[in-house]
Amino acid sequence: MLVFYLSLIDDEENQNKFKMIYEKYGNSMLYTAIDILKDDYLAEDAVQEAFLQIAKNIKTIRTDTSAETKAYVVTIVRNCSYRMAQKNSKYIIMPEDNIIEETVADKTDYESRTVSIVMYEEMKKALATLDEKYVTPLVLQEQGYKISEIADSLNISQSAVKMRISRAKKMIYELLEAKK
Amino acid sequence: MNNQVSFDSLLRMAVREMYTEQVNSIPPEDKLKEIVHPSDKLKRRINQIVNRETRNEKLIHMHKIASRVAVIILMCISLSFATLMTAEAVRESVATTILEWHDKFTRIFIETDAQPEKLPEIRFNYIPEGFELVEEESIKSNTYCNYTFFSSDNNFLRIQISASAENSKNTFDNERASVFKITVDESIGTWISHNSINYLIINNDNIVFTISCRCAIEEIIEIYKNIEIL
Repeated sequence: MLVFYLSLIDDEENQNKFKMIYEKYGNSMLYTAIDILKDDYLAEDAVQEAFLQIAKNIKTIRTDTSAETKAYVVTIVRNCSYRMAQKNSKYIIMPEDNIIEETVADKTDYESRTVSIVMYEEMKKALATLDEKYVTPLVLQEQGYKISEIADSLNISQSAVKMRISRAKKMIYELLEAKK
Repeated sequence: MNNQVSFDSLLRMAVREMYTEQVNSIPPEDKLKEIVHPSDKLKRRINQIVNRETRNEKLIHMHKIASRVAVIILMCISLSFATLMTAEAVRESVATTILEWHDKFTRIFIETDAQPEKLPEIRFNYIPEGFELVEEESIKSNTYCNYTFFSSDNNFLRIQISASAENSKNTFDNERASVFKITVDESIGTWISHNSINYLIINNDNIVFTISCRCAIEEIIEIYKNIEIL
């Protein structure tokens, strides 16, 4: 019986969590989407897409602090907006992740590599030049989400998440090496 | 001075700073209300998501509860069954039921519901050569008789005649027996072939004949045709 009541509370909690996210961060999400897409209608589509992702993963979203939650929802809506922008672009975008997954993963241990602290500004610039699809998994990982949670949030496979993180690090490292 | 740091930790710091800047670049809520105006359509779409997710959650929740209830009921049944099975009467009735089910689904029953009558006198005008009646193996009563014949090569011929009583019942394992309908002198009978033994079961004017022998069905039909009712 205790399990039954707990599960009831759990459901209600998730519903309230979703409503809270919408009421508290809905405008911020729309603002971010408009900022990226420069189109109100497309932005609303991106926000709807982001809310669908949020609803699917409502249980994993951390709401301990509003900064954490806001960072997550902004990351998700940014990702959806960039995807929407790609969909609406005139150019054909190759489904790169599917190709990458087939190739050998980069096993370089970046944990053991060192860089000069003076390269920090260069690193930020390099990060800003990266495609959003590589940045988003890095951001979610930094926010403390597990690979499986990131995969669910972005609706991609876990191996694709690992690959994107690995590729992002490789690209940044190579950009820094080139600057030396 | 050593200014080398781990690439990974520096990247983490840069990532954190980047998304913090992104979040901080969003104006405060009161200003946002002036800048962005979500359409009614978007509100409706979000409400649809909320409703759909609530519905899905409810369905998942109901499924969880139903599973738990089913498990509890199953446990109760198992427990009470285990307790009851210690009583001999319950054990016996369960065993009887299982046997009845087994018979129902694995065997063929050939029965007749006619009223029992007294058997008339019977004479066999044809018995294949070499078969001798064994009196000790034969039974004769008012409503039922069983004549058993043996040959020198240990083959047998059994003729059972029953006055269409309720006790005229034959059971066969339907997994190993082949069953055919057969008409002999306008009487419909059943021919069963089981373990190289042929059985002919035929109802002639409320007298049931069951003839079995390890010989051809034609031979058995011949025996049946030559049974004379006096």
